[in-house]
Amino acid sequence: MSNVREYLYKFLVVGDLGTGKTSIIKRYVHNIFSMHYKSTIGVDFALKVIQWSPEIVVRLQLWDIAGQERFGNMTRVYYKEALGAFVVYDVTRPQTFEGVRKWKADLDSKISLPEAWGGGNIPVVLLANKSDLIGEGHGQHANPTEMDTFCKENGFIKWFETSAKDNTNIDEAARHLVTTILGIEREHLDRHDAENFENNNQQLRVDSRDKNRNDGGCC
Amino acid sequence: MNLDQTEFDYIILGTGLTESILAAAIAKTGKSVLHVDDADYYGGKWAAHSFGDLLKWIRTQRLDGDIANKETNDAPPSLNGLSIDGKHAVNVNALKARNESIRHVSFFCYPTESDNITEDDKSTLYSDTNILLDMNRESPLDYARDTIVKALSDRFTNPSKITKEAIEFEVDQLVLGFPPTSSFSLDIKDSIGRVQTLKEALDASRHYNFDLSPKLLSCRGEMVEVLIKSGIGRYLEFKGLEESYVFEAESQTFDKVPISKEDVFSTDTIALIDKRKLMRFLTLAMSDEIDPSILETYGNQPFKTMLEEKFKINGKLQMAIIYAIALVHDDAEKVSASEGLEKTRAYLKSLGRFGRCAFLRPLYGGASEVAQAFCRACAVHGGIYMLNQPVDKFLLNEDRSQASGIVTRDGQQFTSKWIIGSMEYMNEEWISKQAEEESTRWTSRAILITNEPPIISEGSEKENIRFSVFPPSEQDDIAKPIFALQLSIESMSCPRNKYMTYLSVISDEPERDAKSELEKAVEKLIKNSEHIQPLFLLYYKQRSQESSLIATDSIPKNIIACSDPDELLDLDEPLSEAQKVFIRCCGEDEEFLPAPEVDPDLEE
Ligand SMILES: Cc1cc2nc3c(=O)[nH]c(=O)nc-3n(C[C@H](O)[C@H](O)[C@H](O)COP(=O)(O)OP(=O)(O)OC[C@H]3O[C@@H](n4cnc5c(N)ncnc54)[C@H](O)[C@@H]3O)c2cc1C
Ligand SMILES: Nc1nc2c(ncn2[C@@H]2O[C@H](COP(=O)(O)OP(=O)(O)OP(=O)(O)O)[C@@H](O)[C@H]2O)c(=O)[nH]1
Ligand SMILES: [Mg+2]
Repeated sequence: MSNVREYLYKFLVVGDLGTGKTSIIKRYVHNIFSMHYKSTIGVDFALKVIQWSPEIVVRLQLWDIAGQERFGNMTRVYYKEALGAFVVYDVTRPQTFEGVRKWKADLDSKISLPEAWGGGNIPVVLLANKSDLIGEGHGQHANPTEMDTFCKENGFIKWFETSAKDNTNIDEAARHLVTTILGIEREHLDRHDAENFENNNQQLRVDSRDKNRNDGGCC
Repeated sequence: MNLDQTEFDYIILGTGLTESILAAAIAKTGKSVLHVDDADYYGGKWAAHSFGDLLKWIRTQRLDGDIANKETNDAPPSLNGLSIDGKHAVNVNALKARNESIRHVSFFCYPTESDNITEDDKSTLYSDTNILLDMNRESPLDYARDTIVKALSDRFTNPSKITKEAIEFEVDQLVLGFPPTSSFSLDIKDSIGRVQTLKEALDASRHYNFDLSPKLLSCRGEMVEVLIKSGIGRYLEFKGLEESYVFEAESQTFDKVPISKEDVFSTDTIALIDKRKLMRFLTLAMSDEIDPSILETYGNQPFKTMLEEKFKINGKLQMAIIYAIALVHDDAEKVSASEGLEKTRAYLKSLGRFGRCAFLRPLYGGASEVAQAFCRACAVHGGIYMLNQPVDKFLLNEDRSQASGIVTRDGQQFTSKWIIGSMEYMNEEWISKQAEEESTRWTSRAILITNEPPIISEGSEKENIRFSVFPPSEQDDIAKPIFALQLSIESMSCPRNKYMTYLSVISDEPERDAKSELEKAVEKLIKNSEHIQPLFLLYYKQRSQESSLIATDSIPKNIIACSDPDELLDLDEPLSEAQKVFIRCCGEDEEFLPAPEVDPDLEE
């Protein structure tokens, strides 16, 4: 066996209606983009496997909001075990920026990092999407100083101007979030290795992959 | 929260388990689904609450439906039957119905002291704890309330929002028991301790998941099969129930029940001779062809008789087999030998599929977690979710044989071909009074939070999740078997170093309070070790109504009711009901929750 370490990270992509959540995921995972708007149906999560370094493989699960959950609370299924999130707004529609705080508060109230990692808020990156349209006279560039202050005040680790259409900054934003989480994980692994924190917490899954189906002691 | 789309193929009311399974199954066929709940949480009667939400729930119950009743009284009663745009309207009041299904709520909080409290703090906290309440005045209870709130608040330096919430709750509980007039002196020492207990729990509010209808999945049950096949199981994680106990009245101890062959031989709670008898019985129960002469002789006799006469199994071993292996919920006399063998077989077969356990507990909230997994699947297939959306009326056609849709409290109208709803959304007039007697059952429940696991045996991990049964016992005044399920951080049920034990018993007397039916068992748990400090204890009685009590000639043909959570441990009954409803409203030809075409885990 090689000593490649594999990490599985679940990231959430939230934001108001039509801000480009699905487009960002599709660009990042499949490198495709379509101007044709279809409210999201049938997308659960997308998987991107990244060869991060020779020793590290990161499997990223990107969880889209099933379009229609936006009217009510999302289920716990959506939030649980998420380690990072993107909050997306549309630079051409200022009202979608109004939603940013609400989405961040929602994330903070429902998800925490694992106990072994200190249990704080998960890292969240703010995406100012559709930046390609600024050049065409829609909306305007964010003021970097104001945005930095906004992020600091509202607990975002960083912000990026992105375009799913032109493929601008999406890789960078994802890389930043993965780097942050790898950092948190490493820091706490070192600290807890000695204590052997998660000693025998064995959780079971039921799925067709039969991972943990072992023969027990049936008569 | 306005929705542009107003026409749907199906409207589903309530996010309980049965309705949620149906929501997912229907959305997967490509039909449009609007899924509505009047509450702002998922799960309805199956919900699991955080600590903060549990306190809210207790308050709502304490008002005993006051709010709900008020709302209906405010509405003109004759509205039932009045027409809107030429349609008949029939009222819905889910909140009221849900509150009526709960009785005898009593909640106890035990005083504790915060860990990080200094001697200085202590002297401020506990200085002069007697206060005089002069109740001879107008609105004496308001006065008493304000006075105690102030007396408590003054003791906590810079009380946080959470401390204030704890104080409010404590004082509200306290004044409930006050005499209305006479003046008296009150010692608030215990209140100070209880505020500290409440505050600590409120600080960790989200780490608690109080499951109102605690359930398990049988490892070989249909539910597990459906979760695997449909791929919805990927949304869930489970913890196996690895230990079973039976409370032994004679020695007043919890004895571990062997569940596997190795267990049977390694256990020291059973004498060698009993081990042989037990093996003989288990081997028979597992064999594919049971000697017909045994069934002929004992089949219709009580299970107990067969154990006694055929296997010479008596006393505590018999108790363990009947209640902890065959999991008989009711009087053992009512269970025949063939039923008992069937139940034993079901239990034995479920062992060994996922490690050494017969049952799985979903992490966090039990059945409501499973319900939410189905809701996510429904949303992913286009279902629209509206929580916190009270439904006011059904709209019916002229002769009331068909419903055309619903009207929400805020006046939006939605139409659909079918309406599926949990029992609390059904109009009272559809319920057959005769069937109500037969199809209504009550379960008394308790939830106990402690700082140490009440049930444990030497050498096993504190955090393991366990199950124990208290067999009927004259000595302990226990009439029906009481089941206890002990959970921990391992099942994400409560914070680390806290333990959550659910107790339940079928109740034949709806008017008898839940506390009197369960307190003996609770006492045995708390007294099992001197280190056990109880923190909270909640009792309530839960009504369970089957959808069969709806009279088919009074309910519109396209409205379908789903039963309440029942008293059984596993989730196969709601699944089987969902499958029947699915066939009724989607037809025989549609496949129920087929396997997904693509596996998102493998797709890239
Ligand atoms: C919809 C939903 C989804 C959930 N999903 C998950 C999940 O995916 N994974 C999971 O582990 N649990 C989840 N939970 C909740 C779960 O029951 C626990 O509450 C969870 O594990 C919380 O972890 P925590 O350790 O940090 O606790 P918290 O309850 O967040 O923290 C306890 C205390 O610390 C404070 N605190 C928290 N974070 C900070 C911070 N950054 N800075 C300062 N103070 C802070 C809080 O205000 C609180 O007083 C979910 C709950 C809900 C309702
Ligand atoms: N010009 C431009 N258009 C974009 C960009 N990102 C998304 N869009 C367009 O914006 C519309 C909405 O994009 P989606 O990705 O569907 O947005 P969403 O947030 O997933 O929408 P919902 O699922 O309905 O909430 C589509 O027409 C996209 O083509 C972008 O970066 N630039
Ligand atoms: Mg989308």
